[in-house]
Amino acid sequence: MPSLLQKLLLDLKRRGNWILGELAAVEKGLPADFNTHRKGVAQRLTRAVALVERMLCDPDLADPKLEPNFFMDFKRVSELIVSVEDTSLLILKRCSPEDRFLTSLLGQICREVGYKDPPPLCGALSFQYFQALMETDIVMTPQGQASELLALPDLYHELAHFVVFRQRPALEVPVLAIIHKYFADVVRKGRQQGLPQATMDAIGKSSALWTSLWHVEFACDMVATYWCGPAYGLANLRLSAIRGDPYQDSGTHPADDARKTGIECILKLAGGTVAANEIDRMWQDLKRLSPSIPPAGYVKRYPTQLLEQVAQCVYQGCAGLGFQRFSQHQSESAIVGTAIAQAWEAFQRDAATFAAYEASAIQALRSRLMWP
Amino acid sequence: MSELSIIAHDYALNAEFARKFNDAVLTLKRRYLLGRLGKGETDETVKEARLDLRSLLGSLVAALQDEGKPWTADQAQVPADVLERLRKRVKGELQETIVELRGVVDDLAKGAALRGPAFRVLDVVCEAADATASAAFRRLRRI
Repeated sequence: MPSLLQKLLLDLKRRGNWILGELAAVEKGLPADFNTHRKGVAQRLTRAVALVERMLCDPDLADPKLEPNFFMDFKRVSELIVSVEDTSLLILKRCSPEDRFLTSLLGQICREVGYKDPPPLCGALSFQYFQALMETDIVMTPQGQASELLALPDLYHELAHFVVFRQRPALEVPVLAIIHKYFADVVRKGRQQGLPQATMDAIGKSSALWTSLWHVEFACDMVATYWCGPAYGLANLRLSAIRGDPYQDSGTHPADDARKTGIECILKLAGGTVAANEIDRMWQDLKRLSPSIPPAGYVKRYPTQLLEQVAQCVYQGCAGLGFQRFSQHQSESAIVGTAIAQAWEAFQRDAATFAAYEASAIQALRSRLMWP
Repeated sequence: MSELSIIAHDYALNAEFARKFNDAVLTLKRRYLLGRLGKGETDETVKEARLDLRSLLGSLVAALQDEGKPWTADQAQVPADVLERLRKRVKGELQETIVELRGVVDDLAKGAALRGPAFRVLDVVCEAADATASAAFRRLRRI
């Protein structure tokens, strides 16, 4: 009589094999970049199914001492299979003209910025703005992104998520070291000064938010700015205008106002002080339109000194990894970077006629990327 | 940019840690509790599992007892969510847990065989890491 875990593993194997069959069935007619992704996913899934088969053949599977650990392996493989079905398989089966264009676009961005891994697959299927899905090497965008230029800098931010995750020793770990040291110094000074417990608790909370997830968002913004330049700052301003309160933060995302400061730090380090000042001027204008005011303790929660240190670290990390800074791009080869920068210039020059400009620029990009 | 990207990032980190920790524990449990090797496993596999576990546990112990001590890059091996969950799970027994984990690190460093009590505390870490990865996955896939 098979155990519950054996039955679950048999079911998992069946599901894994079904997806492998679907992945094989969609091969015909796929563009090369889609097929590269398909092959990679199929290889990973084949290894996962082989692991399930090994567990099923393992004479110790039902041993009470080992069974809970086998069950944990089962869960990780299950998660992979669900993720592949929900993302890779969905985009590969659909392979719409929008998905194909955005995948080509992202591939081109990867070449322009010096991204070294295979470019992620891109699908215009998101109902939650832009998403980077690390486990399956996928970027999801909203439906309209294949016809727009102004939000495309956000693709650089999503790509940065892969870099910050995969290059942890070069990017995330040094950033974390800076943040931990900064808050340890603040706590030490606070104790010396005999600050009230409520203040010390607020410092502890800020430190936890920074070291938990905020540092990742700040780092991704900064890498994106390193690659994309002022257009990333402008796209961030545009997005912030839609999102509302620039001082609102959450457990996962720092306040837009602080993110803007981080972006400016990178622009200044890259010699883009004029652009940084212009973005700041527009930001002040946005704040004039917004009734929001910074909440109590805001300045201490987002110390400029810390943002500057983190920016310096990310900037050096990007240079060390051999990435192309926006100001190093050659307009002939940086097709996407140049198109985005020019689109923002055109929008600022004449927002009323921008729609026509954008349609023509998108068409030109499609022609160059899809039918070179 | 959306919340899902950061949750995906978080899930990937937590799942990677859970997988690595559990793989090492599974290999060593079989070797020391059942007294045999798995199919395809060799003494070299056991040696690698001991090294991996020692590295992960060393980082975990350093992170758990970080009060007042400077943060080291080594601690970055352990996701913050795993630490938080583990602290909640052991609650008032944190100090005893740290002592037990340090004992396992010492045994691994000395090349000593691991016994039942070592695996009891390792299972606590495995469960915390597994639960953290599962929770991140549920947030990611909205299931």
